[in-house]
Amino acid sequence: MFFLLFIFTPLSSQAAEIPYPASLSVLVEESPERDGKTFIIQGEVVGEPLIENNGVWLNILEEGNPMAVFCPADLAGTARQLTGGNHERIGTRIQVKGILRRICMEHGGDLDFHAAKCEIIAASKETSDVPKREDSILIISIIWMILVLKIRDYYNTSRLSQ
Amino acid sequence: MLLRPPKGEPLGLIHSLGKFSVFLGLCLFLSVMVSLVFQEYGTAVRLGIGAGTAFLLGLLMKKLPPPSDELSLSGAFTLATLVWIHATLITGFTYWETGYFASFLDACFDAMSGYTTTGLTLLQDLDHAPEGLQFLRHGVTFLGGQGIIVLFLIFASHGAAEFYQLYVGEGKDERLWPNVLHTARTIWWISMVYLVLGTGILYPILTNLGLKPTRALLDALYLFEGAWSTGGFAPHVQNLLYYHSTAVEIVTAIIFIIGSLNFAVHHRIIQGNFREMYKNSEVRSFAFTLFFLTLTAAWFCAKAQVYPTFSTSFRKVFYQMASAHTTTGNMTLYARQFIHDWPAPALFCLITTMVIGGSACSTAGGFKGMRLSQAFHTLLYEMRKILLPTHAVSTLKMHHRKPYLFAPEHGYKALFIIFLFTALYAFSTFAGVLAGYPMTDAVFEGVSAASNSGLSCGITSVGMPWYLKFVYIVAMFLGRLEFIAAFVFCGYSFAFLKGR
Repeated sequence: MFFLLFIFTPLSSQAAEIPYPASLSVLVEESPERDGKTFIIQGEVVGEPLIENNGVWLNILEEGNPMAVFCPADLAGTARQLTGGNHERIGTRIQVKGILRRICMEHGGDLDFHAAKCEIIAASKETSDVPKREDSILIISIIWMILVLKIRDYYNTSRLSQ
Repeated sequence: MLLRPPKGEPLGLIHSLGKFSVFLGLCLFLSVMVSLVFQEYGTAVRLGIGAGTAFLLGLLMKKLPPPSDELSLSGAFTLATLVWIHATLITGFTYWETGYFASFLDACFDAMSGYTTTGLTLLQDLDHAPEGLQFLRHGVTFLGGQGIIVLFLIFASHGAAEFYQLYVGEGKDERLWPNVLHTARTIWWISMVYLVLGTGILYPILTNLGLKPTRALLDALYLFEGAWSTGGFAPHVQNLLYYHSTAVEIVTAIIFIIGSLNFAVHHRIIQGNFREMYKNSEVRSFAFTLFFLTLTAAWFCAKAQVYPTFSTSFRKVFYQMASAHTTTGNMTLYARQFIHDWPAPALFCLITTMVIGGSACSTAGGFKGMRLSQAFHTLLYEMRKILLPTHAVSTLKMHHRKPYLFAPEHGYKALFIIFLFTALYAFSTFAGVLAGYPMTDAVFEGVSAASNSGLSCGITSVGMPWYLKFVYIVAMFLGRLEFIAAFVFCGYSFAFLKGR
C-alpha cells in the first residue's frame, strides 16, 4: 500500500524530455554547467533519512557516487518512511526528479539536489552475513594453533618453576 | 667503517615485535566483539582471522630470545619502524579479509592511512560496511593519533627508560613528565576525557537529526575519533556532508582544532595554566596562518563568485581550511569541487595549510607550526645579525610551556626537517604527474598524503595505478614518523647485512 502511495506522478513519460545523467558523478563533475537545471536521477537510499526544519534529507548512492537529495515538506512525510541501506540491508532504490543546486543558499552553500517528485523503483531488501566454510576452518585452525602454543608455554613455565 | 648491530639485538627486536603483535591481536579482537554484538557473524569470523593471525605471529616471534641488553638508539628506532610496518600489514590483512577492499595493497593503504591519521580511503561501499569494520577503522585512526607505541608502552612495557627512544621514534619527542610511561598515560588520559566529552556532545545533535539512538551513538563516537585524531574518517562516503548539519560541522571543527594542539599545551591547560594557550609560539603560529590564509582564500572564492556572499564563502572555506591546517581531512564538499569550483589562489592557500600542518606532539601531521615558527625566528635572527653592529648580542624569545631564548640550532634543525618534508611533497607530487594526473590534482593529493591531511580532489580511488598507491603509502608513513626512524631503519638493515 505504502509502495503505491509513494508514487506521486508517473515519471516515465517525462524522462525522455529531460537529460538523464549517466551517473551522479557527472552531476558533481559538471555542476557548473548543470547548475539550476532539472534532472531525473536514480540511486539507493543509504543511511537514515535526516530531519531538516522544513523537509527531509535523503542520501542516495549510485555506482559508489553519492548525492544529497532534499525532499521539501510535501514529500517529507513519505520520504521519512524510506528504508536506508546499511550492512544489514540494501536500501530502497528511488528515482527523483528535481533541480541541481551547485551552491544551495538555502543549505549553507552545499551542492545538493532539490526533489520535486520521487518514485520507488525497488524496495529495500535484507542481506545476510554468514560465515563461509573456508573462513570457519581457517579460524578454527588458528585458534587450535594458539591453544597448542599457549598450553606448551604453560607446561614449560611450570616445569621450569619446579 | 659500518658496525654490525650488537649481537643478539636483531633477534631481540623480533621478540619485542612479537609482544607488540600479541597486543595488536587483542586490539583487533575488540572489533570481533562489536561484529558479534551486531550479529555480523561472517564479518566476525573474518575479522577474527586477522586478530588470530596477529596473536599467533606474536606468540611465534616471542619464541626468539629477548634482547639481552638495553636497546641501542638505532635498535629502538628500528623497532619503532618495524612496529608501524607490522601494524599496517596485519591490519591491512584483517581489512582485506572482510572483502571490502579490491586488493591487499588497497587494504594496506587504508590501514596506513588510518594509523598515520591521513584519512584517504580505498574502502569500497563504505555505507554498507559492517559495524565491526567501521569500529576497527575508526579505532585504528584513534590509536594512530595518540601513537601506537604510546599505547603499547602503557600496556606492555614496565616503564623501562630505554623505551623513551621508542617513543621518540614514533615522532613524539615531548615529555610531559620525566617518566615516559607517565607521559604516555597522560596522553591517553587526556584523549579519553575528550572522547567522553566529544561523543557526549555529538550524540544529542545526531539524535535530533533523526538518527536512531544506537546509530547516533556509534556515529558520534566515529566522528569524534576521526576528528580528534585528525584522521578525517567518517562512517559515510559523503564524509561530513552526509549530515547536512551546521552543528556537526562546528563541533567537529572544534574537536579537530583542539586535537591538533600539542599535548603539552593540553597538559598545561589542565593544570590550570590557561595563559599557555595564547602565549605558546606554536599556537600563535597556527592561529596566524589559519586566520590569514582562510581570509585570503575566502576573499578569492567570493571574488570569483564561487559562493554568492562573503559570509557563505567564509563558512565553507573556513571548514576546509581548518580541516587542512589540522591535517584532518573532514570535508563538507565533494572532492571534485576543489578543482572545479575553487580559484587557483584559494587552492594555493589550502595546499599551504596542508604543507604546514598542526602542532608537534599532537595527532596532526605536516611539518608542524613549531618548525615554521622556528624557521621564521631563524630568519629574524640572521637578519638581526647583519643589521645590528657586530658586537651586539641578538636574543629572540619563544614560548613553549615556558619562555626560552631562541637558539639558532633549533632553527637549523627545523629547517632540515622542513627541507625533508618539501622533498617528500615534491616526490609524491611527481609520482602523481607521472601517473598522468594534471599538475594541480597531483600537487593537491600528493601534499595531502605526505602531510597526513587526507583531503582528496578525487585521485585517491580504487582505479589509481598501484605504484601511486605504494608511493602514497610510503609518503604517509615517512610524513608521520618524520623521517628519522625510517632512515635509521634503512641504515640499521644495511649495517646488519654489510657491517663488520
